[in-house]
Amino acid sequence: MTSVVHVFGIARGEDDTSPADGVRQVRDGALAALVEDVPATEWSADALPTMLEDLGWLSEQARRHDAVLRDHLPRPVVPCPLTTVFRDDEHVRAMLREQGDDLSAQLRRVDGCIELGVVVHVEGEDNQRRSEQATTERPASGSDYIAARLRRRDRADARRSRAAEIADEVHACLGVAAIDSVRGEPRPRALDDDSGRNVLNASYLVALAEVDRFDGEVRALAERLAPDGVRVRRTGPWAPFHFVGLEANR
Amino acid sequence: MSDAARTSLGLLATEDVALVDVLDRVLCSGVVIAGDVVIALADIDLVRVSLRALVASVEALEES
Repeated sequence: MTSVVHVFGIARGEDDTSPADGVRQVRDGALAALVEDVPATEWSADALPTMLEDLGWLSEQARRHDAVLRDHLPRPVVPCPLTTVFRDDEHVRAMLREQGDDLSAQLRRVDGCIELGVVVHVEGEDNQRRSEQATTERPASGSDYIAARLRRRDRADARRSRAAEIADEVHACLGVAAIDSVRGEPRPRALDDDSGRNVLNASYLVALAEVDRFDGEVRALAERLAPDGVRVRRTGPWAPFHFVGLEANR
Repeated sequence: MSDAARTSLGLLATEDVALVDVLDRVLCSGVVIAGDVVIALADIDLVRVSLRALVASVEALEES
């Protein structure tokens, strides 16, 4: 069976890992790529797009990829996307040689840091809309009907701008406790696991010494915003996916 | 990572982590990947996938 090399991420060679099953290192100079051998029938460029549509396969591989990198924390690591595949070790070494200086600089940048995620959901918009529609009485006239519709539209606009304000506020508060931050696109409903609407999906690069302070900020925001039907959830720690990466992925 | 360090960082067991949060990271490379950028292994070695293709496949799965 032909195998190819799946790269989890790049670490310092001196940080010896107690690697998970099947994970090994490919070294060049001071750098070590954390890799595993995988079947080409699943991971080649021809096969991968199909495999990624298999949610069972994707889920298993995504969790493994994440778990291997997470195990390496808090030692610095430049994480690679799940779909980082090389033909063989020699090609991995060539990449380490070519991007060595850049990778070393990135490892220094995230040394002593972790990535934390924060997702904010606003609850009840759909329920509110439904109850408004249900309680609207039959309009007495055409102008009443139009006035009612305008009121509904204004309320919807107000909710949307309030949600945007909340997202901006949370992001600004948390940015203070972070070294860097990235605000991602809100999640499409189809991919989300929350009944509310996702208004903030952000990642923060946080120094280990600041994690408690960051979590304190998250808790304070969560408590303050809960009465408004706003849920603030912290995820991670993660490898710093949103802050460093191979040249080809930036 | 030691158990003590794990606890102090609030690390959860992998099963407790929502898949959507994992996918947000392992399929993200710090940039928005637009279009189907699947590079032939023989050419450049690096393979990337379109996040849009994934969203479409999940939506299709939910509808079926």
